[in-house]
Amino acid sequence: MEHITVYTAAHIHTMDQGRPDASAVAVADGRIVSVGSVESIEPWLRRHPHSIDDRYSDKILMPGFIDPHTHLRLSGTYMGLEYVGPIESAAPDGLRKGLPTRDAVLNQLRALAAERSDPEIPITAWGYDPASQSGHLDRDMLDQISDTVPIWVIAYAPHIIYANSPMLDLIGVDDDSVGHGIGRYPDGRLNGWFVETEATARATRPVADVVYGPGSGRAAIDRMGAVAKAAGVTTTADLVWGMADGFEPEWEDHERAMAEGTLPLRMFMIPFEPKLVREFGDDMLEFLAAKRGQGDDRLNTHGIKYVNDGSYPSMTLVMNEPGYLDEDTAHTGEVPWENMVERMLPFWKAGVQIHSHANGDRTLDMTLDTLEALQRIHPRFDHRFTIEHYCISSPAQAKRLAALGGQASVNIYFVHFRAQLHSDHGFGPDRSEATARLGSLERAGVPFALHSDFNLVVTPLSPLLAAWCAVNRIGADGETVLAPGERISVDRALRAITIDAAYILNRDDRLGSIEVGKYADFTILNDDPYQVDPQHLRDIEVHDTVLAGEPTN
Amino acid sequence: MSRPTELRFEELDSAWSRVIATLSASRQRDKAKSNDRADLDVTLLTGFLGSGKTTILRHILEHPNGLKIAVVVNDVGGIEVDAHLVGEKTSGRISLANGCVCCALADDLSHQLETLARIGDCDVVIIEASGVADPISIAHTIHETNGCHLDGIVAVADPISLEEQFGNQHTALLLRRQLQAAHLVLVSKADLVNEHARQSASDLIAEAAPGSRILSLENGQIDVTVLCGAADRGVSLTNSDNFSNFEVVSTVISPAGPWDPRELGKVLEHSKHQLLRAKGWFDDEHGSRYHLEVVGRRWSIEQSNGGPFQALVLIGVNQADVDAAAVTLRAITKR
Repeated sequence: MEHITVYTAAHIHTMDQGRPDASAVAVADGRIVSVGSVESIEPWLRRHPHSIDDRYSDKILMPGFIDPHTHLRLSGTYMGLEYVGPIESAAPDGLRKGLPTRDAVLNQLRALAAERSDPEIPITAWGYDPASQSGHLDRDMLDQISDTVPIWVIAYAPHIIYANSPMLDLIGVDDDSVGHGIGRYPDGRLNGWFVETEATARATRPVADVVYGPGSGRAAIDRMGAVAKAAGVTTTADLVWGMADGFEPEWEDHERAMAEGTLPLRMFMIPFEPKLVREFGDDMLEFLAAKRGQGDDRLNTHGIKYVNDGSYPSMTLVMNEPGYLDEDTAHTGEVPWENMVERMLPFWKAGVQIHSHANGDRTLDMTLDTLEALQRIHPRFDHRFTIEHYCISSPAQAKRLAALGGQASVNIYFVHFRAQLHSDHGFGPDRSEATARLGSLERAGVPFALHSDFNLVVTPLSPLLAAWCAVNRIGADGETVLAPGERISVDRALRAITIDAAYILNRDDRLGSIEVGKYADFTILNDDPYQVDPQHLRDIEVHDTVLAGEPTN
Repeated sequence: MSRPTELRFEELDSAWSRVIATLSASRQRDKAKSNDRADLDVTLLTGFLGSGKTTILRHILEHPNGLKIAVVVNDVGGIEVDAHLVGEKTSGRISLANGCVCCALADDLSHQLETLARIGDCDVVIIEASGVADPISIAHTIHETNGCHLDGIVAVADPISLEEQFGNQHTALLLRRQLQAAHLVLVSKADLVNEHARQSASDLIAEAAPGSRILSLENGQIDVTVLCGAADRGVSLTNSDNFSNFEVVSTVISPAGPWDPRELGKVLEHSKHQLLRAKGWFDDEHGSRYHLEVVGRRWSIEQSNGGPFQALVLIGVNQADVDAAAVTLRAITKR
């Protein structure tokens, strides 16, 4: 041991239930050597060179937060789009304010154009609403903002894209171009509108080239990695590895970001099953084994991901009777369940942990049936079969999940952001209120974690906000408590973003709590989540994170 | 509970999904994708549950006029084609004796379409999109899928429940989106309502989506020529005499042009022509050949490496509409 660093704190919550409280933690070579007080760790300090680092001496230190289900690579590019819609929208940096008028939108675009250092990169914005923001944009209007930086704005109803002159050049259209949906002024000059599929596709291609061009994947990872770090996250998992650019390019982007110090996270790449099978066929298990060998404690592959259901906010999940309030508004794809056992079996037998997406209670039934079939064919202990999202469920399903040895990674954010909306729209009051039944999981003894799914759904990424949702279950109206019996304690919620989240990823032997031998990943907070009013959990500021013993600020 | 922004949030969310779909679709496409007409024609059929899509699909599958049609639906069992036509049948796929096939919508539509295009045993694909599915997002996916060509978006509206659907704030939003995205609107169940109801349905549609090309159907009877562009490949019209309740009329402009493609585009963009479809080839004044395709409001003009001939077929519901469109087009030459 070359050198021990001792971090002191106002309070350390170790999340080791046997030794929950401490005031100092000793770290060497990225691992925890000892946790307790400066006095208690003295036997180690006497034997090795050491230093005391008291930069966190008035802070609260916790194990690094773990969000076990995100899509940083996939969503990073989308979040590069600027929001110019009329209403508030959740965003990585909290809520983005709505812009009430066209002038406000133009001002916002002007500010963006002014700070754009590279005129080659277009400003890409979304959410413009000509109906409520006082009329359409057009080319001349946007040229006044900038006639050098390309500007591309996509509206949401009806489908239309607005472009300025430099953007028209990028798209490659001029007054002589022929095409349906390419708008013109009365004098025949292009007005910068692209309406309907063909025209919008044409206008989008150069932007997609920029957004997805060489280096864009890396930029996305860096950007979203920063968002996750700011929320106190030190470990996350990408649940659709392979879907964005393919397995190797995505792996390399992460590898490089870590090597160059721009991604202060541990990252588990969970392959998207259809893509893995399509790409590697019979060699899929060998590929995963090879990648595991190549990976290390920062970047590695883990498990396998199945998407067998739709999403909660878009109301495409599959539900049991009595189904949707208005069947007409439901669009539920049928998953070929008859071969699901066959699809999962090779991974199940090989001991690869299965993560299966299930939002609706009917999908949950099917998933549990599948798990039961797997257990009958090839019984396993400690398989950690994980239901991802677990939005609509019954207490009975929680018990069955427990009986089959499964666990749940739960999107709790919807309880606050969406549940009340869906009580009269889609799911009905009962299932909306009981969205994400953590209390039932706890009573049934099912291990669970909280995740954000960031950012394939319009919710923020913040483990403390997730814990706040889980503890309070306050609806979007800011006062109604939804399904009070499904609330969990502050301690349980904090476990669900630390040690229990590590368990979900089968890394609780190395991550998730502050124990001797584990990786020295910490989240540093300005207030104590065990001391504040639980209603203010989400307001606690993240001061810093420590990854493998090193502060990331 | 006070939720003043309820609908807007919904819109925002769907807008977000659409932005994602639009961007993702754009990157699926090979840089080298050609505008080769050999691409598989894909028609997108939208409409609410119960609007009559299934009846139309069943009719098309039973009367494919020699085309091998692949229908992609949510629920394969729901189609219930004539039992004597059904060949091989699994839960995800039904093969028909006439060469048509009905398959279940997969979670990766783009991949499913690419596979259909690659295998090449069908002439045309019709995708049924129901409920909340945003037609524009799906259209983008089709448009940007390698080997595929978005032929048109066709919406089915039920004249009996249309007014109620417009009255409900949730369905109204989706309905308007469907109608505005559509290139052709089919009003189903014309046999079940009187002329007055049919007219008021057309008025409601025209109000929600100005400029819509609207067509009434009885018992889901529609000529495959109207639904699928591939049916008139090579500019030959199928014989629609079989359906006494449904007739299309057509006229041929030959020779077509010479037209300035830009002028023609302007005319098509601003014209209120009532054509259901038009297809063919024309020359410009320099003798270059172009391919023209019209599906209701949608049109495309693309340079073509020597189309087979210089002629254009126009298809509409009544002769007056078709003649008027022909006059407008012929007039371009004189400019």
